[in-house]
Amino acid sequence: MTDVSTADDGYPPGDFFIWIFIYAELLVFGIFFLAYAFARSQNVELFNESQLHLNRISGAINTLVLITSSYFVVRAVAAIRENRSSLCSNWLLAAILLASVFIILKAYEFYSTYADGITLSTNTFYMFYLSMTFFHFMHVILGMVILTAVMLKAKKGGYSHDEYTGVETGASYWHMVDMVWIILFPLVYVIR
Amino acid sequence: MIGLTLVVLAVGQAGLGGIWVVALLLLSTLLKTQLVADYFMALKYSRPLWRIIITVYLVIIVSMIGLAYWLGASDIS
Repeated sequence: MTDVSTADDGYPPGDFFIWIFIYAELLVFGIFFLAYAFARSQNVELFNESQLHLNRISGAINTLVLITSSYFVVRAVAAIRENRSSLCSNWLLAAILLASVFIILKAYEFYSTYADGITLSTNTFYMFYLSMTFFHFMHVILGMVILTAVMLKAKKGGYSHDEYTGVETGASYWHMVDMVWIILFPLVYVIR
Repeated sequence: MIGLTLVVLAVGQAGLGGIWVVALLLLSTLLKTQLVADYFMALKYSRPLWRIIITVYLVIIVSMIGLAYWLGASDIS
């Protein structure tokens, strides 16, 4: 597996404060995950029945899309470490395009759910499903905005092998978004 | 990670359930997320504390999810 970088000072890649933000975000998502799991333990039949209506293939494709996108971001960081700004921005563009696939698939899933008359108030399962996946969806959009800003700066030669903290900061955030979905997919779509 | 994701999908499509299947799925989730932390986030090369925070978080979350599913399964049987 390709690794991104080795932090010479022992700190993880990117700005220090993005890691405080990442840990805080993981905490929030963790509370969501546990609330879902324990709510399910009180109403297993309802959750199992409702889960059958989800599109698992779309969820799995989105998992593969995010993992691949994360890998492209790893390559972008590796490229800027070699002072190859243009290659870095190309890898970031590829990651953003894959993220767009995620957005399209997820938006279609939301549309289909809404078209079936399902809302947050339909039942407890859908309340969790819609709120957790929409919360994550908003993080994907924010991640795309960050990656786009980093890509544009890289394209203009704004980073070099001496200073690429911005690339690593955006990358770390994006990997967090990927990590959360890796937990969310089996939890909500598969485990029964 | 792609292989593990396909296994998870196959389990879902087959409609498999039960505590051992859940345990397998949660272990694969733990493995995948730790790989993301180690190699994508490069925490393997940072001071141990940064990696330990993520590992402890993942172990707690996955264990608690497993506990909740076990409690749900116990209530049914």
